[in-house]
Amino acid sequence: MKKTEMKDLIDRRLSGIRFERAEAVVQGLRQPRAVRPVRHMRLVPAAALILALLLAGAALALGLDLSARMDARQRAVDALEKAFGLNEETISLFDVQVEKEGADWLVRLVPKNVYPAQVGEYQVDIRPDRADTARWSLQDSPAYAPDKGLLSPVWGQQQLLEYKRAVQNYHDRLSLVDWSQAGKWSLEERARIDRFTQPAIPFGLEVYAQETHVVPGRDDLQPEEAWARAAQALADRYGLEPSAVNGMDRSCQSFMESREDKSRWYAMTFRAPGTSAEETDQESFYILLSSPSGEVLQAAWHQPDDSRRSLPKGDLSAYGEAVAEYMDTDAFLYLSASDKADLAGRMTAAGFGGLLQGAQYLTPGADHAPEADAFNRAISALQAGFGLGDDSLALFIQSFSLQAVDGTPQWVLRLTPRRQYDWTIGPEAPLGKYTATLNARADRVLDARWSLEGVDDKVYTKSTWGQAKAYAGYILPWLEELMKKTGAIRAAAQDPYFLSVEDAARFDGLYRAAGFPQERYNAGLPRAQDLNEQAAVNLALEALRTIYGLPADLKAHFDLIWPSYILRSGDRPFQSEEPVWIISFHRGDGIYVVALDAQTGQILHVNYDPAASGNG
Amino acid sequence: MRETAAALETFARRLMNEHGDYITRLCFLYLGDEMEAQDAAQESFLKALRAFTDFRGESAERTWLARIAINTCKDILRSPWRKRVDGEQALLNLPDSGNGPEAFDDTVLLSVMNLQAKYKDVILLYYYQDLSLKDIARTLGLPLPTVSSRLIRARKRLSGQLKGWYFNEED
Repeated sequence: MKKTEMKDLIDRRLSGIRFERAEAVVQGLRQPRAVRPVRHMRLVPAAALILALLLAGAALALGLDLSARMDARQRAVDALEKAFGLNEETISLFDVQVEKEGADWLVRLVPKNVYPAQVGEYQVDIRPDRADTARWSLQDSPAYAPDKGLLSPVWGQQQLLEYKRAVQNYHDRLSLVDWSQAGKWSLEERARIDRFTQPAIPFGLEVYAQETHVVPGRDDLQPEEAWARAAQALADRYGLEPSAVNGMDRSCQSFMESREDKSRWYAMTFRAPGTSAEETDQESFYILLSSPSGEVLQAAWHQPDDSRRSLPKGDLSAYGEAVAEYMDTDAFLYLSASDKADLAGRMTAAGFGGLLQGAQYLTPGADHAPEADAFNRAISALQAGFGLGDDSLALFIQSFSLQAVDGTPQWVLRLTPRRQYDWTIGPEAPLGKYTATLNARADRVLDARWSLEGVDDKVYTKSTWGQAKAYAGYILPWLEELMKKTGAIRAAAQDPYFLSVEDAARFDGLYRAAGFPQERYNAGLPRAQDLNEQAAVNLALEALRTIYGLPADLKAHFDLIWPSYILRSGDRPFQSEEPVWIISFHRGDGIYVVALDAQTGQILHVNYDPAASGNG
Repeated sequence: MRETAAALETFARRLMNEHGDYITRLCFLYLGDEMEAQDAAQESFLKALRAFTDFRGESAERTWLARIAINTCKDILRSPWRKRVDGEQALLNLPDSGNGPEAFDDTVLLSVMNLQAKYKDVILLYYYQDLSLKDIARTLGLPLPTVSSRLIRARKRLSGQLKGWYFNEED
């Protein structure tokens, strides 16, 4: 099964499903949801005023300047604590949205990855002339049963706290394990780790522990025998010499038992000598063997370069699974026209012709133009027709074949974008596919087409092409240049996923210079009048201490502190038109984010995504 | 303030126009119910747009949305109060796509829909979202070897049910 087949199948079968809620989403963004007000919990205006002054005072005493939005958030937190017992710990399970409505503020809490139907939503109205009013959408629900713990159909503070701490406990337990050596663990060590971690799996997540590592018993297939059988099975499956498999490093052996049916199996990996599990660009073989039978449950050949993948020579009858796996990749596309015809013939003879999807491949002969000449003419046809430069051809897999089309031999050249995923324009980069069809003598171009022809006919320049909906041939050199430059920035970075402020500014600057939107590529460098990076981090740490009550020696507890300087926050919740520092702090219990005005240091936004809501 | 809200609305409409159908179909594959899928997709877009500050463009928009949608669907699925859905019936109840249900062999889709969530994650992200294993690992927050072995196991489970589909010999 190829990726494109699955995608096409789903899109065709589900084509009747269209998203119908766009207006509802827009309305949801515009308006607060209707929730009923709490009956008993109201602050008198004077108390609200005193509270606001106290909060502001506390913040100022610590050198913090809270924006009006942040001040509204803090007042809402206090109102929610008084009305429903919520605190920062349980509020972290919600997305806190603060919106201004005239002179008033509306603060909404929407659950993040925590059973929305059971948790409900909270809302606080902050008005200058009245007491803050807190409401909960489920506050009058008769289904609320505190004595049922997490099985209560409605979750209040008690359940939220229990859930959050249970998830945190599980993550704490996981964090006690040094996973960096997991690839080298013995079967006994794996079983011990599972015995340690799995009892802490929290409510609702049991689905992720349906199998557990165990130690093979006397009646099981023994580990050494399992390795030997695995090597032989891989050699048989892929037509390799057993010595080739045995020459690889044995890496990572697991033995597992299903909780469901108690079946047991080994999972094993053979890797290219001297490579590790982290090196995904290296060849490796995976295999699952049932115990005690030794039956091969699954095997796979990981070869990152499809052009290096091969099949056994001769009769393929005994290699059905290997053939299917081969055709699941792009390996076939890399074959010459002659080799495609040879393999197609052997596949058909072995009964696997269905994997060719109806195409009939012919062996080039005396009646046809020489393959090299035909290929060059097909390439020339596409280059002339669509302005493709020589260098741009490297962006595509060039698949060439001689096929019988309606009984007539034709040369077919297909250019398919290589699978080069990039974080930013990635697989959605609109390169399209090119096809050229020539007659058998290759002296006539029957057809030349680009799948994106007519999608975007505007003419772009080197500084605007980022806006194009289809990258025509003349744009491709600019794309290549951008990929090369941004790739170099990532390659040289200490961590390609968490770029430094300077690298991020250069990276996004390259995109902006190509016409990509500033809203998305918005990293820049601080101005002379701005706080420097260290000052911004210190202020953000102070905000975390003040708002979340984190300890004074907080900095040492984070695994990663990632500052970003953003030229314009645009649509972000704090909606600042001025440059901001956004600092994220990562550690085992989740990710904290603080945004502050780059020049004044005013705190604009804080957020905590705990492990219990999916981070950590 | 008003200008920012208008910009967010414009952005929201563009996002839903480009990815709405995809996200709704992804949700359907998890939930097996079209109305629930619409609910989940709506919820996912709202979550995404309200938490736009957390999107920094490190991943493609669709990947970012898919992650939110998958988490939203899992929340719904994990709920002990949710009714179990018959995937086969759900496919028969789909809106008319112009081809009629008889035009399709639903073996593949049903097999995918019936996978355990952890296997469905990797199959859909690999085949439907077209992500690399490394990016699936980042999207799901899992170690790469776990993703890799889950994909193998998911394929194993599918291959048993899809033998005829995989090996659809012409003769």
